[in-house]
Amino acid sequence: MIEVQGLSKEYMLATGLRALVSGPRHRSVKAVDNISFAIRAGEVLGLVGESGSGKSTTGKLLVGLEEPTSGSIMIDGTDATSLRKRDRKAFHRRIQMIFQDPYGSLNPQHTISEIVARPLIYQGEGNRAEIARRVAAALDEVGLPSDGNYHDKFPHQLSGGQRQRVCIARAMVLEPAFVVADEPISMLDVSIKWDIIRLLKRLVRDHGISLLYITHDLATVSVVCDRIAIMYRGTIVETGPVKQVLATPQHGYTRALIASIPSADPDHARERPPVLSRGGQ
Amino acid sequence: MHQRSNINAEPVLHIKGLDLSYATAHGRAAALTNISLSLAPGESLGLVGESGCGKSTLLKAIMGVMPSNAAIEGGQVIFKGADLVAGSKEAWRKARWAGISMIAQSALNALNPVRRISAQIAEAILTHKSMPKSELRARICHLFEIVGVDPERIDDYPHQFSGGMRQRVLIAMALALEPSVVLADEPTTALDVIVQDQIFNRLRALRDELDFAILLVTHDLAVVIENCDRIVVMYGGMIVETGPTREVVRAPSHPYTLGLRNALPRLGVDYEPIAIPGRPPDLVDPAPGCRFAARCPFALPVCRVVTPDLLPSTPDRAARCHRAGEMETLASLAGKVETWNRVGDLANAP
Ligand SMILES: Nc1ncnc2c1ncn2[C@@H]1O[C@H](COP(=O)(O)OP(=O)(O)OP(=O)(O)O)[C@@H](O)[C@H]1O
Ligand SMILES: Nc1ncnc2c1ncn2[C@@H]1O[C@H](COP(=O)(O)OP(=O)(O)OP(=O)(O)O)[C@@H](O)[C@H]1O
Ligand code: SF4
Ligand SMILES: [Mg+2]
Ligand SMILES: [Mg+2]
Repeated sequence: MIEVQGLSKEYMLATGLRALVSGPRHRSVKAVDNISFAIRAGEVLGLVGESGSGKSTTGKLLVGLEEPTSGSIMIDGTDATSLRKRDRKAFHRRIQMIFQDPYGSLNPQHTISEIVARPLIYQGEGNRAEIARRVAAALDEVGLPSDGNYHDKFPHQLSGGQRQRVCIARAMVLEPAFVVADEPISMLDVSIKWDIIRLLKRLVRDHGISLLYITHDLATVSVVCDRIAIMYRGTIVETGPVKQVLATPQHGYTRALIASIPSADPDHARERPPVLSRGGQ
Repeated sequence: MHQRSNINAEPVLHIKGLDLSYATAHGRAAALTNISLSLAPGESLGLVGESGCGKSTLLKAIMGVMPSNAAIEGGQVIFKGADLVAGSKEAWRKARWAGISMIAQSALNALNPVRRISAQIAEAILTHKSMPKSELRARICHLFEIVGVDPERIDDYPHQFSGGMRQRVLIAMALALEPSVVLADEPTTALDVIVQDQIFNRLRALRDELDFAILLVTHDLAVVIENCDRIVVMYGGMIVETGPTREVVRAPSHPYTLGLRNALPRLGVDYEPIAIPGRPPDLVDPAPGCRFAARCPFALPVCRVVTPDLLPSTPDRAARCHRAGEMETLASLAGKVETWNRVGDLANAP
């Protein structure tokens, strides 16, 4: 169970000389502004929202990659920051993140199987044979079997979707208790996408994982998530059971979002809404 | 980006019989086989296909930015009448960005982390064009407006931008020099649907104004339906089907396209999309015959022996399937999950 209370993160922008020149405006960005939510074991919370609204920042705060400006994160009743400070390794054993950028988050010097083995080696889990077996199983589950010659490839030799699957395998190989998945399947085509979705759902159910699923893909949200939270300019503007929110959206932003989903029906074009918003406020 | 293709005009980009392979530890992998397509000025062409089927490889080959282990084994990339493959490296370099630009799939990681974004866009513009400083800044601000990022933030560093903001910077860069062809590799994966919609609206307006052609790679069939006149479907390094988008989606001429359509989710309804079981083909040592045969529920013995040709069925449609003529019957079977579940058993049968 993970509980977030009044979480905020403010970034300073222009610093030094540039700040003097550009004047007092445009000092800082409130990336996350006083948000609260909880995810139970075995539950998936979808975090959906505007580009630049603070979703990735929220994820990074939860896994300890950023320090909150204010607010608290409790993991099974214990404060996450003190947990992390007390035992870093144990903290990472339980919490994993799948990063939004599969091009920047895989070490280019390591082969695919080395990348997936790394968390196991770091945690000292099992002997070499055991590690090799678990790595192969994790890669197989994401559709990169050893007979496909993927395991000894380097990241630059993989396609975008293949890299994303390596990121998923790396995060899941430790069977963590809590996972932040930041756009984990944005580069996967429909058919493999549903395989991965089923895999995520199964892992959540079988291992009682709490999953924060950050996505722009509203179609998968209703299949993957139990509840969703809609983020807009740093705050959560709406939250509830996924089917309810999608069927009867209350907030104007949510309604605009649903109206903007492109239509997959070649015979029925949707009406394109005249909305204007600008990222990076 | 519909209702606006001058298909009859001289193509601005014409790919002919392109073959490309990668050297790997296990031998040469045939990543592209006999790829032919053309783009008319102002046209938008959607390119779809499974993860790893060769879409990014094709875009990089058109740009002439292949990795060192890639080799073009044959074929032509004709841009405005001149073959870039046969021509000099210098000619290809000149065409790059000013003539053909690319929004790379690795957009989130493509910017230099230690340089301000304004400086990086300025450099991209100045390599091809001289411009006074004030005009340059105004131009960069304008590009930010087009992609919907606050121009006040042009002097930020890349890490200060969210994923979607970085992706939009790359879109801005691709438009900076007003090229004739924009190759867009999954340009909106990090964008919410509202921003995505706005970007496509603006791209459409810009395209009408400047008459550039777009080759759009996406895994989202709905995006192709809404934005592209024509669609190309790839499988295992080959084009398996091509035609006007709506016609192809309505009535596919290839079993892979049928499967692709099945996997589309339907929002709001409890519909479990049908996936295509199985794995993409081995490109190092491809089995003879149709590359889709191991996963195709309609494969006949001939399919495992003879590679089908990409044959036209109407003047603007073509498919690479021995059973293209029976597609109406096959389509009704393809809508059932049992049809696809049988494939594994068939493939394992002697
Ligand atoms: N390290 C940083 N320094 C300064 N500003 C930052 C930093 N990281 C993020 N921001 C800003 O915080 C805001 C929220 O960014 P975040 O990456 O959390 O958005 P997001 O919701 O994940 O967006 P996207 O969907 O585009 O990935 C943005 O305005 C961004 O520019
Ligand atoms: N440098 C390389 N060396 C060897 N193989 C490579 C290299 N780059 C890509 N490949 C392989 O070539 C195939 C095609 O890759 P490509 O990146 O073109 O796929 P894609 O269609 O863009 O997939 P995605 O939708 O996942 O991005 C993949 O199987 C990939 O593993
Ligand atoms: S040629 Fe045969 S195996 Fe290939 S797609 Fe057509 S029916 Fe299926
Ligand atoms: Mg993000
Ligand atoms: Mg790709």
